[in-house]
Amino acid sequence: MRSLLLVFALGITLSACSDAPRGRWDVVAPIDVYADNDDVAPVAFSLAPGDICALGEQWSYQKVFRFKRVTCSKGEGWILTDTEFRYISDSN
Amino acid sequence: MSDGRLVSQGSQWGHVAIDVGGTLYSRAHGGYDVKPRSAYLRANSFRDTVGLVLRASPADVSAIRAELRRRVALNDPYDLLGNSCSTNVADVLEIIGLLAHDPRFQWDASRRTAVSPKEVLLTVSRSSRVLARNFYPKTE
Repeated sequence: MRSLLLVFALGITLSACSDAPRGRWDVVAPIDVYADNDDVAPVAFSLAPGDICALGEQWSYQKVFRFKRVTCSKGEGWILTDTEFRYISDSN
Repeated sequence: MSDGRLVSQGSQWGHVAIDVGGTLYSRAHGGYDVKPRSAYLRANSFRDTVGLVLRASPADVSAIRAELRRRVALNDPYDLLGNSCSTNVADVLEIIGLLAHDPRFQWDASRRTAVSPKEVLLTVSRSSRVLARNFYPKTE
């Protein structure tokens, strides 16, 4: 019973740390995607209306900005705002 | 001046950036971030921000812009005491004679050290150069 609780606690901890981008989101306005969750990270690529991405749920707060992880057909990266995305569905 | 955030990588006491003609110069840990004002404010909409509009001559603006560009190119390592977001803003404002730190609380009188964002806000707020105070509330 005790080891079962330990495994359960570990599972909860790991799932809390995981923030893999999920869902299907439509880009509705142009937005830059940064290479890292760093205030001075370079722009990795730009998204245009019609592009489809998966979004993380957690924000990573840095010194100046906050970042959210995205995975798109153009690549992976980090965004500063998520108001440029419209939710479509849970499936990727 | 943007509000502090407890859970963050170094913004617990807030953040200060300086806007010169619509371009925001913002000292981060890894270097300077330079963005248009609208993009900077949109990306900081998760916290309250106060902006002070200052009276400055064209020569003042040129001096500040030149010093900021020099610092961007120099890219000295971040230092909480001597090369932070707040000391950078205080340094360039004091080039044009605008006191931007409280000299009573200097750890080292020969250097402008350990300036905090709220210290910059409070000190500059008292200047006769302040023309307007803009408030940008968090939107989420």
